[in-house]
Amino acid sequence: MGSLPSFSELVHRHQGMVFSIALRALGNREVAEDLTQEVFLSLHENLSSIETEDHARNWLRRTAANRSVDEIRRQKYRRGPALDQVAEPSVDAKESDPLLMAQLRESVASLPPLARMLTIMRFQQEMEPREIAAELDMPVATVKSRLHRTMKLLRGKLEKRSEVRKHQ
Amino acid sequence: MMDEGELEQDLRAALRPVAAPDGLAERIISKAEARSRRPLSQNHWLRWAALAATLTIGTFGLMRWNEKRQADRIEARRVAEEFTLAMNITSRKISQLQKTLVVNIPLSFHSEGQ
Repeated sequence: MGSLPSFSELVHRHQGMVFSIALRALGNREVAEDLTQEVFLSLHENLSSIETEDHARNWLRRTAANRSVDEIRRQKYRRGPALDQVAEPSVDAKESDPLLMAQLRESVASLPPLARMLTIMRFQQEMEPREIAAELDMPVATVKSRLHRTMKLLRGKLEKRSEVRKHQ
Repeated sequence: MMDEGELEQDLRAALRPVAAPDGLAERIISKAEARSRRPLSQNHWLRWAALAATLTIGTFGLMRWNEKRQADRIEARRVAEEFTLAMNITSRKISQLQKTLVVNIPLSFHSEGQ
């Protein structure tokens, strides 16, 4: 991965990664698609400063993450539909427990923007805390503590939901 | 109580990467090509137009500022001259009045005042 492939190759290879980050962060396919287009068009404009494919992949991931966080904040400011109320269109029949998966996605979508992005980078992109810290320009300790708090919060949310279901 | 490892596994499954929509790559590539074809000449033209506009506005502004400064200087000189003239007239009037008073007031008035 020493040299830089053509722009169209980069798009074909990394569109899934950018779209997945945006979709799980924003919970809306159309908005995620628009954001993916913006990210790649921005890459096209900055292609002269990109040296290798690894560099391009990291650049795309970081830009997708930052723009998704900005978009979540904009949506909040515009008082649009709460993300946890947006229907999840990609319920996969192959999922072992579709209800649990939907609940988890809703819980993640209700997290604050940065916590949501950290969760996506950790569990979707399989990044280590130090990699996330480098990518988002944050101290490793902050990433670790935020992830720890987020996991605690998510566990609490899921347990509360299952309690409610038991009582129903 | 949900186990830590179990929750992490479930999160991985819930947030798993998905395939991009059909035709997205083609749409991105054609947009990028259209942008790089069109805006190059447009950008060039726009850049020159912006530079010309900045220079025109700058020159015009500088000329106006210079004119205003000169007009202010002329006005200040005129006001100073008028003030000097007024002061001269006032001074002359006062000395005339002083002379008149000294001539017309009787000597007894001066001694009564003491």
